[in-house]
Amino acid sequence: MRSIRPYRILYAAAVATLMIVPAEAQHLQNGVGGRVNNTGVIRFKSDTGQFRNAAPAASFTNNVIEFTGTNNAFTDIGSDPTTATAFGVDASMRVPGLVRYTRDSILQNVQSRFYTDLEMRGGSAKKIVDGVYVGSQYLITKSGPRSYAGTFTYDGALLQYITSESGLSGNTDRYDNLTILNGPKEVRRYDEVRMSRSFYSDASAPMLVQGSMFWGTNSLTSAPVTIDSGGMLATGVGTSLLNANLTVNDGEFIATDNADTTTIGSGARLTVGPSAAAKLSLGQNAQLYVLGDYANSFALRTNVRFDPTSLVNFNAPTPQVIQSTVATNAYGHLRTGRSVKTVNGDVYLVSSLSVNDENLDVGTSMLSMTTGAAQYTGFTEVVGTMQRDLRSGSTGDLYVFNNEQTRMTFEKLPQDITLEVRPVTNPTSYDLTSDIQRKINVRYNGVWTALVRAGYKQADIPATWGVDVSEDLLRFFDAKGPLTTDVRKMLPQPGSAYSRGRVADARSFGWVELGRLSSIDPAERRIDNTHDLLMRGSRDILKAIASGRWSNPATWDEGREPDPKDRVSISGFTVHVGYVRANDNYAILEAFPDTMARAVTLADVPSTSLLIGYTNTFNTFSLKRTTGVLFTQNRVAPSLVPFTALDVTVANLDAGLLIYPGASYTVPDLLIGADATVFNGGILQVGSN
Amino acid sequence: MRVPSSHLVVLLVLGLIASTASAQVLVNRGAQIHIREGAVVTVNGDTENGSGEIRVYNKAKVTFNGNVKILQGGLYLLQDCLASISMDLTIGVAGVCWRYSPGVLDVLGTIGNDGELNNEGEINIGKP
Repeated sequence: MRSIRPYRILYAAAVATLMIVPAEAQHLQNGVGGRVNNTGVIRFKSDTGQFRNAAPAASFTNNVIEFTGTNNAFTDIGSDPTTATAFGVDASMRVPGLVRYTRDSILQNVQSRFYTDLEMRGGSAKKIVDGVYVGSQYLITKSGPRSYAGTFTYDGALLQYITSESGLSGNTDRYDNLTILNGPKEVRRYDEVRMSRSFYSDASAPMLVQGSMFWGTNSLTSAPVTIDSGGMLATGVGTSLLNANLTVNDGEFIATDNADTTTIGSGARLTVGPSAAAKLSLGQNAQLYVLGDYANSFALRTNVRFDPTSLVNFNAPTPQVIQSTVATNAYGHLRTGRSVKTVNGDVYLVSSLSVNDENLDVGTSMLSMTTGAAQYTGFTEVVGTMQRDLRSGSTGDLYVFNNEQTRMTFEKLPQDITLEVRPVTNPTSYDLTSDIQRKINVRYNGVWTALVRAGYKQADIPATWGVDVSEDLLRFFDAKGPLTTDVRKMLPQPGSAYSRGRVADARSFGWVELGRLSSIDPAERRIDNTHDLLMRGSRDILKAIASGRWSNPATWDEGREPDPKDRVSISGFTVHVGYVRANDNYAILEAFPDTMARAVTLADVPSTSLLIGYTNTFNTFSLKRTTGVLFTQNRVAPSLVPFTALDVTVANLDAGLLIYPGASYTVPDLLIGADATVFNGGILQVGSN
Repeated sequence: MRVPSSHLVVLLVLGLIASTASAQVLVNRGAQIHIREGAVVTVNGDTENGSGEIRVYNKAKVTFNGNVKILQGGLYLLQDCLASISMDLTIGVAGVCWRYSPGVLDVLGTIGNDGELNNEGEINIGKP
């Protein structure tokens, strides 16, 4: 047998040692002067293999870097991933070419880097941390589940496609935060992009959505977004701020159910249309704040859907045009604020209206709502036509119309009723010496009866009013034309009375209210369809319309106690002064006991009586003590009326003038008609002193 | 001059015997080493290319069981040859390693590059 030479034994041992001892470091270390030109694939196979670099970015060209370990990384030459020479540490050191993370099992950690192209491949799970930037393509190729934590950014200057990640919950197969920067992006048709938290775009990253995109929580866009080709974009549950235009050409923009506000920023515009395929949808409780502009260019307006609980809030500080709607596709809640608003057509809403800070002027169009609340702050109103569709209304409910003091409470509901209210505008039959200069035109379908209040502003009170005209005298008139016969005064009906509120200052409403106005007779309460509701403050003869105390407004046709300037007529009713009778149990004292009126006339009609009584020492009464003030008594009592003691019953008396013992009544001039009767048990003084 | 591949093993053995470096078993000081098509070469020890070239041709297979240093000159792995280095590959400032397509270079250790590393095929670094 041949002998084995010693050097061969040593050599074999050395070789065996080399083959057994594994290499510790398994990296690619590119020194400061090194150049790596990779048009193939450089694959890192160990779990900790790193591409360490000390050279400038231009020293590396790349086709594919493939990481197959769990913690592969780009670092500087000293294994620090955060210094300037580590590839991908920032955009200037962006990793060129494709970086592929591929492994069949276990987990791969995807390093926070600026990549050009990035690919997830192989069955292993991928953990994608905050701070991954992709400048071109993001590929998911038969990859295991991806979990995202933090922000994933597409930041290429050329068109990038946002890769589908359509996990429905959590952060698996669903972006966490998604950011697009620097150039145009697109969600391709049939792709679906979801994220669990925020979406952000900068001003240089317009986005075209042709597939589906679901924002997570809060979102902010700074560049235009266009939805086309049947695409769909849904907001997250948090706030969404659109600081650039969002245009829906073909597809749908959805404000998600119960989402926080979606705001169209100042200078931005949300445009929907011009076809039925361009849609906007606000879900339950969703809120759209329009600080810029919202426009629907589809003529039929049927391409938008607003849940009744949703809100559209036009709240720009500069004048805005409110987009019109149709009855079948009406706003839910509508709010305006901060500036004057106009409309570009009829506006329908099904829930509430809130007008704040400045008026909403609908021009020649109409604002139509149903039974929801209309609220006004800041002395605002709807100028123009406002309709209430009351088919689902309820009697007894208060329905506010064009301002907080223009409202109706119905005993009987019409199908709809419309008020066209124009401040500082002559109503039909306007008399500048006595009338409120505010046109209120009434239109309706159906029969109605209601308590009606109409508000007015100080600016509606012309300086041309006569000296005897007063807000306290304002009454309603049905007005249809210029003739005096075209004006019909509205009088209280049984169970109704005028009430009024004066204008307190230039920032408050005055108002007039009368119950039981109606679309049907009697004429004294009827407001005809298409007629104006006129407010007139001239002083007419005040007529008793019920038996009751002089101080009781319900006794008089204008719903107020006579004052010293009034002329009063009592015909067919028993009016008592100075004490309480059971017919109205009215205990408030007369306001002007020594100047009750400037004239009183008692008609020769049964039950016509003026009873002068007393309550303790409240017992002295007088007409205005001025020469020429006249009391005319024409009633002829058919029989003697007992007058030794106060009559406190409910019954009418037929006495003419009656002064009870203990009471005193002074009239400057007294005219007693033929056979008319005066029963005096107290003191009757004729002539002033 | 074209060297027949059947002679290559002999040339390498001569190279190994001529070496005076204690840690290398293959040192090239300027020669053109051609590992021709289909040839199989195994270097059981370190390799140092001080100058000159090592060219591995299509379908050849070369195994470096040790470190490889390309201080100057180049290691050219042509076409579909297969090369593997069991330890580190070091490319000096004046060195070049060129892995052409579609072949594979396996480096089980680290590639240290201060020169030029060109890859058109596949380079595998480390092992799982």
